Amino acid sequence: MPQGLGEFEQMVLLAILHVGAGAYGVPIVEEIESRTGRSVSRAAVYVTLRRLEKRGLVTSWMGDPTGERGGKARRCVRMEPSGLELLRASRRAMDRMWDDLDPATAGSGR
Amino acid sequence: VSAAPPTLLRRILQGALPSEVSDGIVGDLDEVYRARRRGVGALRADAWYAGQVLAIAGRFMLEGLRDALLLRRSSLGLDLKLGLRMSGRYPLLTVVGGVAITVTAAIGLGASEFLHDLLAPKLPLEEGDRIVRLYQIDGESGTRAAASLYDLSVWRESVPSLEDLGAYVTLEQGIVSDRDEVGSVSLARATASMFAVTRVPPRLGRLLVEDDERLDAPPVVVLGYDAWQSILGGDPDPLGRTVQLGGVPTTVVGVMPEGYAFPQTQDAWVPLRVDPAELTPESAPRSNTFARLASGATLESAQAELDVAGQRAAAAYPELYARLSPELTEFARRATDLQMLLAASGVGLAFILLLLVACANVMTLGFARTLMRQGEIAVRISLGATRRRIVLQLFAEALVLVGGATLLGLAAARLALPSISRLFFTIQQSPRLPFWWNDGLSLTTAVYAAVLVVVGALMIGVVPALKATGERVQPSLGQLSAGGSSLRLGGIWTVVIVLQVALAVAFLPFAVSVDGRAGAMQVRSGPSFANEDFPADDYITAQLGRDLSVPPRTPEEREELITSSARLFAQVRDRIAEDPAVAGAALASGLSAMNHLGVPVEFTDGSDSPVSAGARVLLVDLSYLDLMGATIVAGQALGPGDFAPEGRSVLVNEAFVDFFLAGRNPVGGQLRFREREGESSEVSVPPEEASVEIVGVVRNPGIDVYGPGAHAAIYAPLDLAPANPRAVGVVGMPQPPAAQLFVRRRPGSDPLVGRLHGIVASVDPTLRLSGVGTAATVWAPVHQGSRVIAWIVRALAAIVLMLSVAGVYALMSFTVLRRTREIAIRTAVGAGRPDIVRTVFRRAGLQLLAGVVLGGLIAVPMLLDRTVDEGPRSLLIVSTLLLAGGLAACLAPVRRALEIEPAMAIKSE
Repeated sequence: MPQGLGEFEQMVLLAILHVGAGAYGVPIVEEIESRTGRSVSRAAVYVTLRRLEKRGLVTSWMGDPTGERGGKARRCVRMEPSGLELLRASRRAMDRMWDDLDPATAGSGR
Repeated sequence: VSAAPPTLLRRILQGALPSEVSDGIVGDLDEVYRARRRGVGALRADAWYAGQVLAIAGRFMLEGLRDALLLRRSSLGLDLKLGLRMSGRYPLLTVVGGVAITVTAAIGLGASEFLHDLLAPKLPLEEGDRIVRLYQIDGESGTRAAASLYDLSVWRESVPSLEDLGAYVTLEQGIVSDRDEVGSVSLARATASMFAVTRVPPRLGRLLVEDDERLDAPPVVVLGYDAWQSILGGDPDPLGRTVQLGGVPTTVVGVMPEGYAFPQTQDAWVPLRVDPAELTPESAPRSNTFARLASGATLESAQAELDVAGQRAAAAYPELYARLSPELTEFARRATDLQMLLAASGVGLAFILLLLVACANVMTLGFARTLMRQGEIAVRISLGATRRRIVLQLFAEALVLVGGATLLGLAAARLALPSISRLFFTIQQSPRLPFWWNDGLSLTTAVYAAVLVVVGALMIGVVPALKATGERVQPSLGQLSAGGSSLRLGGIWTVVIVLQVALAVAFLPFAVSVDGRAGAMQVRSGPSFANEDFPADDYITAQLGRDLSVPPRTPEEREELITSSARLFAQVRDRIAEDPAVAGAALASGLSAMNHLGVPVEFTDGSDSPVSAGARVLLVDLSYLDLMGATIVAGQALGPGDFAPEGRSVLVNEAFVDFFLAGRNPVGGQLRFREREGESSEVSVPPEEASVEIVGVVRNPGIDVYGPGAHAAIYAPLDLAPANPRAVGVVGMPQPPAAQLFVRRRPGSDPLVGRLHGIVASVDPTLRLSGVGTAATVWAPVHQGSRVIAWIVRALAAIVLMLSVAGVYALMSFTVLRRTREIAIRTAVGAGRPDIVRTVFRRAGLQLLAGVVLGGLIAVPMLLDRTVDEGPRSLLIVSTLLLAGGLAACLAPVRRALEIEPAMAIKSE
């Protein structure tokens, strides 16, 4: 059975989808922070991105260096089909766990 | 304005991250940092950045650890642990190999680090590698000349690749605070653009601005941290206070942060003021010129624009500029890339050779050890261990040894580097280290060390392991039990041993004589002088100079300045000598023993052919030698008459006689000063004037030399009014007018240093005293540095000796082990002990002998070239020692051979 996705990994993958083409560290962090309203550890995002790439769920490539970045290039990331599939599976699993709970417990958060 | 995050933190982050992600993350942080900095200011942005660096670096390290624990793919950790245990089981290999590698690593890595810091340092300023220095190259002589302020004004207009162009001149200047604190500062007169180039904000107050450069602007100074602390006592509100700089009341407008000393060692900055009327090609003063590469510009683009400017200048003013071409380099760089490469590869090559010799020896030892472990290896192979597994394990063991030893070597280099740098700059007559000097070890050196560790471990661990597990020797357990071995030592080992012994024989006598010359004082603690009872703490010495707000322009002005300075210096000496706490005072041309290179001279006494010699020349006044407690051992002392302008008498020291005249009596002989090749002196001396007469020989004065007879020296009269240049004027008074003051205080008298400044200031406000200290403190760095160098030489000598003996030992053990069975059989069939001993010794004896002969052949020309009489003797001693050591190393293996029980050896067959 393939290893599932943790909550934070799901957040990072979703942020990549939201940012779209040319997603890289800075906007991913901003996206998560603006959507969840809580501050995010940059270190965690970078480590997560690296793990996701090692698992083949995302791929990355280097953009062009810019002066604003001290001459360093952006490391852009893109989700792979396998990443999207795993993300959907995670959502379905979570949905099924919420199913059939009485409305008072489930609330209207979703 | 976008500023970069703190460089150090940025570098730490870069180093801590895996390479494949580091650029992306560092760039991301740069981007966010700049945005934050615009929003919340530099301080908070820096703090945020530091936090991020810690968090991200820590997180990735944990991640790495987690990977290692999770994967457990490699058993390297286990091998390393085993390696550590093995180091304890083979103490000879560990100690000999470890010491050899430690010393080699310390010397090699230390030298490369020093060289790099010296020749191509990195300025610890924001984008410091974009700060450049500009100068003119004289096409005929190939020398560098300072650019003029006219050049600067032209370049400012015509070289868009450079921004913040500016100029400075540096000088030592006396400073007196409004509360009568007296001292001296290393001053830079600089254009305001200097601060723009360095991009360092002031700690207090403001920087110099362009308005300060106007001729009618009030005099202002920005003080360095040290000057602020020492002259203003660290006054928290120093702005607006007035200090006297060279007699001019000057207002303090700012204080720079600690460590700021641009352009080199400066601790006070005043505006460089130039009369615009002087800014013509003919009359503009010369100065040091600097700039920063504009954004997007490169050294090449700037050089191309400079070339064009240079061509225009040559066309407009051919008589002035035809020979000159402007150039630029990185600001603190002393060498071109090619020179750097040559120097670095020279040091690198020497180091690698040394390391190869060390490793080859340790490899011999390692080989012998691997051999002894053949049983263990055979058992492991028969239990199913692969060859790769065994080689890996032996590699890991070697890694422990080489890695540990290299780490020790790095630590030793780190400890020794400060002493060596201080020695170097003391000899260069620079009392302080340039602000960019960094005694730490650079990342490059660490990487270099790491690579060498791996290479060393491959040599020591893998080569013998491959050989010991090769197809030919996949050993059968049965064969092993016979106690013999099928391994063979090829001719390469013989070559290694012979070369090594040769190296020891050739190198050691040389090292011993270097050691002898550096003086016998190294082992004693603390600074020491020729006479052990020399009361170094009772002598105070300092440099006397003049503060020149306007430098002399014509030869007449210059002569007048020298004459007036000489008069003032003599007044200072006489006034100090009157102080009740003072036993005597004297002047000399400089600090002897620190006196640069020797001057070439030729000695003739009418009888033999002239003798070429080289000696340090010290110009001394009438009271100097007396004050230093020097005694005349032949001839007579310098008298008042010798100090007249037409006087031609000098003294030499005993070392001069010993080194060059083989004890011949020099009194009455003539010395002719020669110009050093390729150098031209400003003063041309007619040949008949260029010779002087030796009137006496002086026993090495205590203060003048490191150890007994360390340096040949000539004492010539210090002509305090050099109206007509005398022969020794070639090396004459230091420029600009300056002299070294020596004061002997009465034991137990009140502290004198504070009063000296007062006396000097009372004679003339333009006089300045700098570099004040007791003889003990002033010489301490020299002594310490020479101790370090002497230890390096000794360590090298000891290493070579030790390695040779150890190599012979390993080889002998090996021979005996391999021939165990043969020896047993011989004994069984009745061979006598002498036969056996001869068999074993023959090979070692031949190798040793070959090494000694080869080494002797290398050493003899070297020794003949030097006039050192102990040379042949040390050659003999070293050869004997090596032979004895090598043969002694054979004893244990021979005893083992003789103890072989023939019955046991044959039965196990």
